Amino acid sequence: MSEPAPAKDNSKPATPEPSEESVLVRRAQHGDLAAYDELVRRYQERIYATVYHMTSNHEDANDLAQDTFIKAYQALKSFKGGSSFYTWIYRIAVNKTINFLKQRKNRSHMSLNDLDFNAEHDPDLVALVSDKTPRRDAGLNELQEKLNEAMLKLSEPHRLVVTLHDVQGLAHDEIAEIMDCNIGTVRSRLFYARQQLQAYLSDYLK
Amino acid sequence: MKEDQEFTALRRFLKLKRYEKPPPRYFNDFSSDVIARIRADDLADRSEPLEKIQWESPWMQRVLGLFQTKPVFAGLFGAAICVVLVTGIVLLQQADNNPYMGPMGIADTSQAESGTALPSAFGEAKGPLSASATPSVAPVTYSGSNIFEMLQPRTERVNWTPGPK
Repeated sequence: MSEPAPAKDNSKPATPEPSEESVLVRRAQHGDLAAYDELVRRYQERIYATVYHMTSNHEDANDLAQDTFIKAYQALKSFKGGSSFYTWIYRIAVNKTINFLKQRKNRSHMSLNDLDFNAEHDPDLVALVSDKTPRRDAGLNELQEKLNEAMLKLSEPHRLVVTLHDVQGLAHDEIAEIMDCNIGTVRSRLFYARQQLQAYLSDYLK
Repeated sequence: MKEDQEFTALRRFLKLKRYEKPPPRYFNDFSSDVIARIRADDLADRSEPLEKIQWESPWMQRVLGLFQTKPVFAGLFGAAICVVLVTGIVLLQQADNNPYMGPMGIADTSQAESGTALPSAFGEAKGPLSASATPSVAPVTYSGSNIFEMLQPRTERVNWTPGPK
């Protein structure tokens, strides 16, 4: 079986030049909505994906992602550039999502997005499915559901680490900055979360 | 890296999540929706003070709504305000002209004429005291122009001095 490609979000746009981004941020701080629109376009997919993987619900992810960008615009004057805009907006999204999940506790229901048709051609996923079921489509959808159920069983910090590292491909130090903790904490959380997931999905990982 | 190898199967499984995509063209309108919501919030912040009061006080909203749908009520309300104002002004002017004013603005002229008004109220009573009594009642004058000041009761001392036998 081939080694999985390094974790990388397919929707991830190229990281913009810092100077170019700081110009956009400065313009947006002075009320230039066109500049802010450009910033939203740059990060909308990544922010949406993070929130979606945390909630497993498209509607909630849509609301929270929009709220994140609105809150960020309102708080933009307080952004001093100590961290990158990208880290700063990620932090807002993560805090909003965790607060939302705490309020929603025990009332969660999944509203999953469809799988991209490319999933059927991914050799790793093909191997995973062909072992389990002869019908590929049904198999992938079933696996998707099981995986999301297992993710929702994790605590929010553990789910976040798995989402940011294993799904979105962020480095440990970036995650530490977003979660405002040290790298050691990120590593230990990731290890524990993977262990948990492996236990929940043991029937599908044999 | 050792950890990553330990969870190879799981990490392959997690790749599935990267293929979960929102509906097609979902991101086409995303940023414009965000900007529209920001604009709407800005407008709400800059709205007229009257509009703010209108939205913050539901009863005010209902009253203004009634005025808009039935202008007769607006006219009646305006007329009522005018009547109250005119009545107040008239009462104030009367109070300035007539120092003796009853509670309803009716001038008591009998008391204003002289200080002898009070004994007549006792009729023709005869007696050692009453026959020759010359009560002195000082006329009460109101210097202030405030209508409420005029309505406040005042006490004046009455001296009853026995007259010559």
